[in-house]
Amino acid sequence: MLRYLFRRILGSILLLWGVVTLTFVLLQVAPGDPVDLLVDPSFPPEDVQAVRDHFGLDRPFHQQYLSWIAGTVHGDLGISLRHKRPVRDVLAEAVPNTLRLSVISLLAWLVVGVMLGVWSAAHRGSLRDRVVTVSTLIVYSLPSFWLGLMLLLIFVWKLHWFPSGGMSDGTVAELGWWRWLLSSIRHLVLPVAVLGLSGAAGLARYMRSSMLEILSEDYIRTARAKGLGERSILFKHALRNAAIPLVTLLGLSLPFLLSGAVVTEVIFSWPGMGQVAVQGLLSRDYPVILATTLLSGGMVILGNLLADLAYGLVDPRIRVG
Amino acid sequence: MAQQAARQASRSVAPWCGAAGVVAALPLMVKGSGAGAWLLGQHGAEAALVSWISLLTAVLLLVACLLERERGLPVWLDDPSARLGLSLVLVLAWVALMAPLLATHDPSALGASVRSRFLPPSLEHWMGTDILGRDLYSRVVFGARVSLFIGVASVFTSVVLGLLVGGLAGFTGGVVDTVLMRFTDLMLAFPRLFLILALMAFFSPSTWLVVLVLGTTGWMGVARVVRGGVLQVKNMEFVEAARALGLPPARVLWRHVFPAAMAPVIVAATLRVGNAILAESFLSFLGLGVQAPAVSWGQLIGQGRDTLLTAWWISTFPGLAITLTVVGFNLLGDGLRDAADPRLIVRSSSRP
Repeated sequence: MLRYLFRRILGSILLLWGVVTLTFVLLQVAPGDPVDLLVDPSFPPEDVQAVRDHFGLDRPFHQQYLSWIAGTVHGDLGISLRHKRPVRDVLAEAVPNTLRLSVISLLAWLVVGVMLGVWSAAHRGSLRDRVVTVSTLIVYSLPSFWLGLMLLLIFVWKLHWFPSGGMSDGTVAELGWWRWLLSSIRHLVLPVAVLGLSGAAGLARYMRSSMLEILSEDYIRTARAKGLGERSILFKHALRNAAIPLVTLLGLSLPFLLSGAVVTEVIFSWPGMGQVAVQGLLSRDYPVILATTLLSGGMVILGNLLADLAYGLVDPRIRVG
Repeated sequence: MAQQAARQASRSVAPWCGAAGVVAALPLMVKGSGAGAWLLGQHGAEAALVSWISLLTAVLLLVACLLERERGLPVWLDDPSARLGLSLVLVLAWVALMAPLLATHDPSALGASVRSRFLPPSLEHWMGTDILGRDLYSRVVFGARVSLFIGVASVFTSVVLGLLVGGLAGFTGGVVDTVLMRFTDLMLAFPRLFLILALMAFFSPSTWLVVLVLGTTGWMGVARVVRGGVLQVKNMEFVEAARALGLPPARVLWRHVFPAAMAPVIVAATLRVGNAILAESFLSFLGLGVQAPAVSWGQLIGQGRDTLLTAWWISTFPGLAITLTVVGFNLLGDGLRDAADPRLIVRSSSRP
């Protein structure tokens, strides 16, 4: 087990190195120059050159690459070209914002998705089941940015129930603790609805089919024959087994916590990782692009690793020696 | 007995392809007595071409129905949602093809005056007009072409790449397998949306670039499925027999291994088309996808974003079109998956 663990961790680090290296190469090959977007074109060429020197963009490829790798290993991600601040500080602000949105959404979609899936599988073929099946299919097929726009239109601009964007009307110091909390919750409702709904719909579809498969197993019939109550069969016998693949699903949705909210953040102007990444891409902010790739690529790899390990813990049949 | 006969009748292919024939002719039929002018090319060569396609397809379908009355629907179409999915996809594909006949206005014709801007939906403009007075319904109809094309073409690209990589890895094995699958892992570790946005932002966006970028960032899942299938099939006796006959490896792979490993790929591909259409619409919404004068649904939503409060229709209708299309592909994919699942086939083929 330890050897397996060691091998997997080593492999993950190599994979992460591959991801950032490929990104680095991609940035070098891509046409266009970040300095063009950074500096007013009317500036004298010496000044443009000075900016270039300042950020070290003129050094040969291998030097830039090695110094970036060396910096990253020491926890220094460079200076953002756009924000003119250390990338680490930019991310330190954005990551908690994204986590606030994504953790709550993830919880929402887990609870709603599992409940809907179990409920509709338990009532298989009934009207309730059909309503759930059809509505989850539709929500699953909605473009989430469009859903966001429609919610904005109805609940913000027509009904004025919720604010249109941002995270809160002010800081804790300005509003006082209680009003800040209320305002934050009001700002969270719609983004969580968009992010949570689409996830919940997918999960409900998945849970329904996996529950249906398990409910047709022999041991469920045995449990029924023993005279167990339907509730106990559903939750103790069926759900526990249907939930095993959920562990993998959870592991695979780890990257979602940091990078899954891009669409929602753009629509609701939520100041998180997704916004930082998209703006970084649009303004060719190389250090920011590399750092966001490193972070979200790292989450993907970590998620895969954890999913594989946890799977062995939950289901002893697939434990690796 | 009567019930059985009714069930038999409902499975006959005749009513379905009869309905398909009527739908095929509809774009031309709605022109009424003006249909002749369309067929004669008085509305342009492309319009004439699609008019003839509409007419001939309808005739062919109806004749085929009469000749093949006895034939039953394929087993996988027993499932009503699979039938609905297939119908949706076919109808939308038909709308895309027949766009010149179905559009009520020239999709890029500007409004006659300032007053024809931002008109709400009416009999003249079924989905209203946009900021330049262009007819939104006609734009949505023409947008179907680009959106469906990108969805299908990008998935086709990923499937070809996935077949190449997965097939080669599974069939050759050894070092080739290891290298290719590590590369697949590497590609999978990229946050896909970031990668797509990066590629679209760095190069100048166009319809073909969207296809290329979505295609080259979406093959990894297919490759894994193909490799698994190939590994499962390649040591079976019929493959060994093909090899023993001295067939070249490429032919063995293409003619004997792939067909046996293809079912899950087709299912995955169908389900991916929906995702590709969603991805394209987000890119075009951000302005990083399809560029004017080409029209795509996501781009239309983006154009309506700033005037959502005063002109809700501009973003709303294209979004509905996307949803309908993606629902269609998802239903079709689910139906195909159920059909490909051997456990389920046993159940549905036990016919009376």
